[in-house]
Parts: sequence; C-alpha cells; structure tokens
Amino acid sequence: MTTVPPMIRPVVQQRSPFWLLVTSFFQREVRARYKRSLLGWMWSLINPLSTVLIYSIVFGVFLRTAPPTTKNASAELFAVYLFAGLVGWNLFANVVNGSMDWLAGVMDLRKKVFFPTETAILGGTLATLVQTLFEVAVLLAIMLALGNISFTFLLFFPILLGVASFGLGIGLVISVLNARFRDVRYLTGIALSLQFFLVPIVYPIGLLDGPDIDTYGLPARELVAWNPVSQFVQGAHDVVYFLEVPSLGRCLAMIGYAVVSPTIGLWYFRKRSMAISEEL
Amino acid sequence: MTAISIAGVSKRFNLHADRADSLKELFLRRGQGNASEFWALRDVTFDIPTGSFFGIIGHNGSGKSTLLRLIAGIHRPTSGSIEVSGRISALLELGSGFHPDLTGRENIYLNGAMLGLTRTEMTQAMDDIIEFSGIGQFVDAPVKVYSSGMSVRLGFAIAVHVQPEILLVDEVLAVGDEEFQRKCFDHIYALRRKGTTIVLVSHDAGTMETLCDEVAWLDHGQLQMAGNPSEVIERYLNRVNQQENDRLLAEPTPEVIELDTDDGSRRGSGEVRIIDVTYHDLDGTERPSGSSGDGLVIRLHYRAASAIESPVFGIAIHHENGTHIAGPNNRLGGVEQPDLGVGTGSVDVNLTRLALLPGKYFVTTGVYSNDVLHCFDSWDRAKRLIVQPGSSEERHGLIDLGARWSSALSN
Repeated sequence: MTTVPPMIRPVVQQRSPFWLLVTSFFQREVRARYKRSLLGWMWSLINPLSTVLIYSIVFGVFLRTAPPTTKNASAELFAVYLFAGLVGWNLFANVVNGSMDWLAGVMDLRKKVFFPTETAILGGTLATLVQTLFEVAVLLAIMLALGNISFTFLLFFPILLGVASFGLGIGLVISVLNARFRDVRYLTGIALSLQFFLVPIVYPIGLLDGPDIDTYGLPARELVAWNPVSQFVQGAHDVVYFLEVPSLGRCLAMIGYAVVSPTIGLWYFRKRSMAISEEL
Repeated sequence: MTAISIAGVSKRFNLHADRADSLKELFLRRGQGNASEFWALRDVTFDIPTGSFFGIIGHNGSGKSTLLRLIAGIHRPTSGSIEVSGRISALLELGSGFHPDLTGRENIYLNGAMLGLTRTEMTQAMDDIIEFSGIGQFVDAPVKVYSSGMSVRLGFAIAVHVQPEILLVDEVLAVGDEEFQRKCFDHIYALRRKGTTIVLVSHDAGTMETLCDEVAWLDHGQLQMAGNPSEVIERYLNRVNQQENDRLLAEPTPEVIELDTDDGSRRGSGEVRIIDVTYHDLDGTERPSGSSGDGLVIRLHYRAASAIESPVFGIAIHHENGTHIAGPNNRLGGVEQPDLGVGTGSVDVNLTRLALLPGKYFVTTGVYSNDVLHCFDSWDRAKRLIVQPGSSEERHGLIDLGARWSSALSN
C-alpha cells in the first residue's frame, strides 16, 4: 500500500526571507555567547590558546612529538603546528556540537510559528565562523612574527569555509536526530573524541608511516588519511604551516566534502524537521 | 474565492508517555504496535472563503486548535491536504512567538521574517507596532524581561500590522485589559473591512455568532457542520446542553422544588426557592406598598428542599422603565446567612428610610451558593413595589439622596 505524502503549501514558506531569519539567529547566537562572563569574547581566544598550551606540554614536551619539518626552521615549533590544525578542528567540532543546541533553542518558537528551522543552525554556524576569525587573527600574528607566511595563507579562508560547510551537513542530520533521541548528544561526544585522534592534529601524519609502526591490524593509516576532517586539517597545515598549495586530489576532496555533506544534510533535515514540532 | 481549502485532513499524534525517547527504548519496543496514538482530526473537509470572518467552534479537545496549527503550517497533516492562498499571520498563543534573548525590536524583525516580510517592510511598520503595543522604550530590551501583558500586546501588534491576508486567532482575545481588547477588536474589524480573511477559534458561542460570517463545528476531531453561524451554533448549543443534561442525570441530584408555572422569569437549580415577597412596616405590620422616605421591610419567604450551607440572598430593584436602581445582598451588607435546613423561612431586607420616590418599581430576588457561583433561585421581577408619597419632600428623579443643603457667602 502506498501512502500519498501529505501536501501542504503555505505560501509563507515560499516567500520567507530566509536570510533575515538566518541573520536574526546569527545575532542571537553572537549575543548569547559568553554573555554574563567577565572576559566575554576574550574566551574565544583563551579557549583555543589554553588547548594549544596543554597539548603542547603533553604531546610536545612529555611525549616529545616532533613537528614535521618545513622550509622555515624558525617555525618548526610543535605549538605552531598544533594551532594551525586546531583552528579547523575546533570549527568543525563547534558546528557539529552547536547544531543540537541551536535547534533545541528554537523549538519553543517552532511550536508556535512555522519557519524553516535550518535557519537557526545556519545562523549558529555563521556565528562560529566569526568566532574562528579571532583564532585566525592570532595564528596570522604568530606566523608573521615567525616570518612563516606566504600568499597560501589566503587559502586558509576557503578551507575554513569548507570545514564549516562539512560540519554543517553533519550537524543538520545530528540535530534533527537529537530532537528525537537524546542519546545522540552523548554518542556525538564520543564520536568527536575518537575523531579528534583520527585527525593529525596532535601528531604529524608521518608518525604512522614508519615500517616499525605496529597498528595491531587496524587500518589506522587509512582511517586517518581518508578521514574527511583530516583532509581539511591537512589542507590547513599545507597552506599555513608548510606554505604549499594543497595537492589537486586534496582540493577536490575538500570541495567534494564541503558540497555533498550540506546537500545531504539539508535534504534529510527538511524531510524530517516538519515532524519535530510535535516532539514534546 | 477560497482562502483556505481543507480537504480530507486527518492528524494523528503519538502520545508521548508511551513513546520511545531513547534508542534503547526504540530497540526494546521494536515490533510492538504503538497503541497510544491519538487522532486529533479525522477526515475534515471544508473551505474558508476569501475575505470572510470564519469561526471554528467546539468544546475542549475537539481538535479546533490543532486544525488552526495545521493551517498555520506548524504541524503537517497525517493525511489530506490544506491549501492556503495568502500570507498567514497567526495569533495562536499571544506573545509566544518571541525569542527571549532578542530585544523587542529584533523580535519584530524575526517575526516579520517568519511571516515572509523583508526588513524594509518591517521597518515601515515598526513605529506603528511600537505605538500600538505601548511598550515604549522596552522595545530595545530583551523580551525575557517583558511582563506577560507586554509580550501579549507586542505579539498582537505585530500580527495585525504585517498586513496579513489571512489572520488566524485562537481564543486569545480573552486576555489583556478591556481597553486593549477593544483596541484589538477595532483593529480586527479594520482588517476585515480591508478584505483580510479571519479565522477565529473559540468555544464561546456568543462571540462566534456576533462576529462570524460562517462557522464550522468540530467535535472529537470530526466536522459536524459548517455554514450559517446561527444554525451551526444552535445545533452546537443543543449538543452541549444535551451533554450537560446527560451528565446531570447521571449524578445524584439534590432535592429541588420544581416550578409549576414557567413564564421565563425564573431560573436556578431549585434547592431553595423564594416563594413570596411581602412588604412590612418597621414594626412588622404587613402593608401593600411602600411610602417614600419612610421605613420599609422587604421580606423574602423561602422554602428549602435541601440543606444549604450559608447561602447568599439578594434583591434587585428596577424602575418600571427598566432602570436598575439597586442590588443589595446580605454578603455586601456584611451579614452571613446561617445554614438552611429543609423547610421554610424568611429573610428581611430592612430599609429604615425608603429612598425611592413615588412610582412603580419591581423587586427581583436571588438566592446563591456561598461562593456566589451557583444560582439556586433567581426570580426576575418577583413582585411589584408601588411607592406612594410619604415623608420625603423630593419630587424629581427616582430616588431621594437625603441631601442636606448649606451655603456660604464669599466676600
């Protein structure tokens, strides 16, 4: 038996100034972030910098992870390598995690007025991108100070846009699942911790290359190499740390992930989000 | 022209108490049918003409609010279709469509965007909205600091100032002070004159009959009737009365005094009834009429068929031309009645100086429960009261105010 999908055509939907909604939620997110905290937006810097400090001590000092060699020896600092990768990773993780809150934050509203809820997630993603720009500014200052800078740094921006877009696609799916099953938030937390170590952030990708590396039969190298987030993070390393244009394969992979993920995410979100107003 | 076309719409809700909220439950419950579904609407079909004032009536739980939410696009119908032509503005729960963290002004833009209006269009309406809502400088404070009255007013102001082609209203006009209510209705009438289709959901038959051009009646999610308001409402009220009677019959009924004649002047449940009203001098001698400016006792004779806890007796005095002159009761007079047992008795209204000027008046009697919510007996114009000239020297108007005059010469 086939059921005819219910058709509803509110003209509201067609004429809705989508971007005005996105702007409103962007504003809301920017304002709500770090509200009632003394240091306010400073936290956007303190957070990643403290992470850099901690990981530098743990991995760079205790575990003696050596940064990969680059053309400019003065920049061969583990903390710099780490920071270059962490900016992209944080953006990805914040968008994925945030999407659940952004959707939950407009649920009350959505139960009373119809509007496309993906605008809230889009607004939140944009706010996260703006926050990331602070980190980029600090990274840029460091690189200028170290003299490790090239025009390739400009490519950092499209790469960050790409990682945000990739995260957005995943966030769209996860947020709508989370509205239905509260487990999703916890599962996401676990998946992100695992994923963090599957991306060469606290170690150089070459670490997995040596012949004496025993991965106990796990395809560790493949998991890291083919990981979508890895591509973006390695892309970031390329343009910020090694000062190289990423390989054609990597560029295509990044473009592909940045386009396919939100396309699928949006399709799934729109298919499922009509029913979430009925979740109590 | 049809503004909203509702065709075969059904809506099923899954009741949450029994739903799988976590993955674990989902797996554990696989294969078990979900027995807790609830059909809020079943196969409802009707059209709402463009420019009409359309009412949807029904008791609580009839599905009328669900239908409004479907029209507003908040929920999707489980089956069937709803076609809407025109921009919808909805007042479902007043003051609810706000994001608490954003300011009033930002929420005005946000609401406008949800209704499909651009920033420019909202900027044009901004001053009117702020003025109409009367929230003043609060417009730049976050909505979460608003009083409920303020968000209600802002919500209404936005909903009616966005030039909606269709306005959905869900029993919200019952809130707000009277002045604001009047303002709301004035505005709704103005929208109606401009050709806005208005859909009002309510269980108040009186409002519906006066306001609506057409009414649809829902009962348990099913359309009972749609069309001419007076016909639909008559049938609706009949059903409501029928159900209330059935319910009353099912309850053990207290002993009541049935009336042998019913000329429409009496109502009340009849556990106690006034059986006569007599007039007396202050010394107790019965007299047929009052005399202006002299003492008068109005004695209410009652018979109680059931024991009643401290009821409230009251009278109303009307002039024969219908003017309501006074309405004292013992509660307002600062005296509580004792509990009544089964039997007869009387209650006196003592007037040491009858203020009524000569003329013809009527006395209406009432007996109410202690909380004054339930009427045991009300007898409209129970007895005529003729007032003859007496010691009062007053000649004009209806009552002697007992005025004392004095004067002082300046200079």
